[in-house]
Amino acid sequence: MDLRTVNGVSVWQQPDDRFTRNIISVNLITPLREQTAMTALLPAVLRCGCASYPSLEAVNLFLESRYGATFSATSLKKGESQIVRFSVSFLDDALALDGDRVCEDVMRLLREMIFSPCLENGVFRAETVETEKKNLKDRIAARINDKLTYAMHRCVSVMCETEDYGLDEYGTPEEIDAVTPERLTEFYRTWLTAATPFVYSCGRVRADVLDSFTRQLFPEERKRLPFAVKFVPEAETVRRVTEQMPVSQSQLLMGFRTGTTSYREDAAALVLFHTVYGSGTVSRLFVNVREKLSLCYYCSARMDRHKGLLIVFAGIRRENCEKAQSEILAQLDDIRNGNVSETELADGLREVRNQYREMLDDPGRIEIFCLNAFLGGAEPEIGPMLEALEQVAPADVAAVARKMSLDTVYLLEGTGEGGDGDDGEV
Amino acid sequence: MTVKFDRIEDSLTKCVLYRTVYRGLKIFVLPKPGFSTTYAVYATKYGSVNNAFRFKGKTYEVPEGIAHFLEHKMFEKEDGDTFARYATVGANANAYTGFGETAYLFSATEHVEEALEILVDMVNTPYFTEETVKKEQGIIGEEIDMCRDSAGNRCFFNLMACLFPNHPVHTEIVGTRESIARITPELLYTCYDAFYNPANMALCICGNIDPQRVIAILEKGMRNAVPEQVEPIPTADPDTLAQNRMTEKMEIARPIFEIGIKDLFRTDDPLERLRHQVCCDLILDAAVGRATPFFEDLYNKGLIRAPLARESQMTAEYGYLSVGGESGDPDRVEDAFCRRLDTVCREGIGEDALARMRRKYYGVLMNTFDNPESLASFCYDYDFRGLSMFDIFYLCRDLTMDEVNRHLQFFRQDRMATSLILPNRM
Repeated sequence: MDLRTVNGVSVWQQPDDRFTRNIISVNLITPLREQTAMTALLPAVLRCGCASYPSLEAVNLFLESRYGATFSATSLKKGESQIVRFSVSFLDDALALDGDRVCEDVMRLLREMIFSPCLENGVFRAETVETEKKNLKDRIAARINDKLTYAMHRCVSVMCETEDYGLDEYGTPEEIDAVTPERLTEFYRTWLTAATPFVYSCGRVRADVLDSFTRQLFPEERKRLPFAVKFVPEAETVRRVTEQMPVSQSQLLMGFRTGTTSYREDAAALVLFHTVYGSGTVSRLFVNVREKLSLCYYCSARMDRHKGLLIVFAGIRRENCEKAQSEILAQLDDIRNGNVSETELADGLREVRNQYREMLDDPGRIEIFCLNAFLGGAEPEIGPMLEALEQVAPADVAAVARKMSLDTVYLLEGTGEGGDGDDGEV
Repeated sequence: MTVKFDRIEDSLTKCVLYRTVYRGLKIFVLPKPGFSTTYAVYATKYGSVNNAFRFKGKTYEVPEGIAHFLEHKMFEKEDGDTFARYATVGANANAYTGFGETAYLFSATEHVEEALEILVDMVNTPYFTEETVKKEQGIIGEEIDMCRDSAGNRCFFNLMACLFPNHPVHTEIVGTRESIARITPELLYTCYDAFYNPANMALCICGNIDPQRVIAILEKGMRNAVPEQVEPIPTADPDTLAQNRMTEKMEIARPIFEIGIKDLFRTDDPLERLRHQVCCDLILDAAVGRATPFFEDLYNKGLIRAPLARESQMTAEYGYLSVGGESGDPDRVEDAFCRRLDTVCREGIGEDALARMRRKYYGVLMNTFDNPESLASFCYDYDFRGLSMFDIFYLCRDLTMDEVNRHLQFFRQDRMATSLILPNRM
């Protein structure tokens, strides 16, 4: 990886000629709590067109004619930051037919989509803003379509009610309703100069081309804001929330505070604890809750090691809720009591090592790794992490497990199928 | 022993592959210099639609969901779970069942030969008992509930029920709780013997392994089975539909819809079938895809917030194409879609659209080579269709306007059905 700074902007580039496509992403990062709804609306409004391609149809005709290049503008939450990501992926010029120049054209589109939006009398078009406000509210409402996604979102909201981490990355429907074209345009202008930029590229784009592109985008020296994430070391009490829904399968979520994060000395032990306990097909949760007890099709743990949060999730029958909870906690206790074997730990280490190495073959996964490293103030190197992982002993994993505290139990209780087409029970 | 491999170097894509047949099994090795990841997939032409078949002079009819059930059980052996074996070499393993195939796979960055030994051994040593079957019924029962709660999944299978009165494509791949309750170890062995015969299978490995080492591993691990073809019994399905509309209510935010057209094109020539599928998808993309006024119009009216998702399956026995999405007013979307099809069928696809599509397809297809998983899957998928994976590149390159427009006749609105999932509140 080549890490550079251009006018104060971090430019991380992976020169790589193994792939047919190049990726260039321009990220703009701000604290999540600041104007969440407006920040979420910006990429939605901007991607509807730009000066040279002033409609969705024009943009897409252009992209298709450039060998199916893709452009995306999205907003996402990481930790307690909000990231607006503009990204292009396109066939390298070396593979284009008839000497077509794809790179230059696509980079120009990327620049215009961020900096040359379609305006009417100096302001975002009213119809575009209204359409995107409605779409954003629809996206919030549509979380309910996938029950696990909905339950995960609810669990985090409950668990982090008083923390920025619990904020909805799209804002609230009320905040969205209050947005006007004038306010959004004004916000856009200040946001462009205040946000922390981060540029990533993987592929064959030349370093000097990328640097000069970055200078064009950000001609003035930029500062990098700190990306703080509030660390809550221990749960004060266990919150229990149950909601009902007319669906077949219940979702059980158990949220824990990990008591440590990736910035502390037991970071490597935390990663291995997560693998051994809840990640993958030889984890305690998979082997016991699913395979031994046949209680579920999935039982796994999602961890945010920057925030210090771990959420176990399982899709179960309503009547098996207590049994599943017991087993989930029993496996945690077993690890706390020092019963992780050397074999289990070695298997976990191998799994993590394989994941890191496979990541290096995938430009998309490399980008996620880089973004996490950038936000965490770390270098995007797997070497030091792998070395640290090799030093972890079973006792370290037990110690990390003892720091975990149960914070929230969220149950989305299925009260039976809401529609027709019941096919009978065994 | 050494076995002769054909070395194929395709002139258009510059892709190199090694190909042979060993004891009836087709083997493909695709080198990926510069990649750490090796991906292997061992697949059989056996999926959810193959519930009636003839093998060694006997006729069988088996419960729905058995192909998927068998896939789950392949991981469990007398001496333990195969995932545990994979963990000792750090490989990441999985499997999936489709309509016409079941695939067992792993990816690894070290101990590749050991991982391949495990894969070959696992797929060649079936082990099914009353106890292991009973245990899996609980796990798959949860998977069935998960699928039943998925509106997209229900919408799709309801559409299949409309389009295909008889054909088993309208049954869930996972089966039902009632159908899996009828699965016995004996039935599993019967299906295994019939379909997991080398003559019905393929092994594709993308990465860095010596083809002769693959042979050595197969020599040791492949079971003794005379290459013999199972004969799936085709289902006679009429040209007409079962019904042209189905509606169900579920706990979702906005209506989800899928509109399908039954495909009456029939041929024994796999290349002609592929040509038909590509032409139909091109027509649909040019008619209602993201770069069309149709999409922009519906988007600006707030009727859809993403391009219609297109899908098609075309086999020797059945075929359909469909578009789907989410909308507050699916009837209006359907109206617009029908009118748009009328226009396109009357006017045909023009040269500009075709030229643009050809470039798009080239760029998108070339992307397959960027990822060992997509490349290996692509390879066996086309082999199962009776084709080489390079056929599609040449087919797309050589498409003509007249040829594409010859397929307009298959867009028959009298063979169209609509599946709707409405919110419970509607």
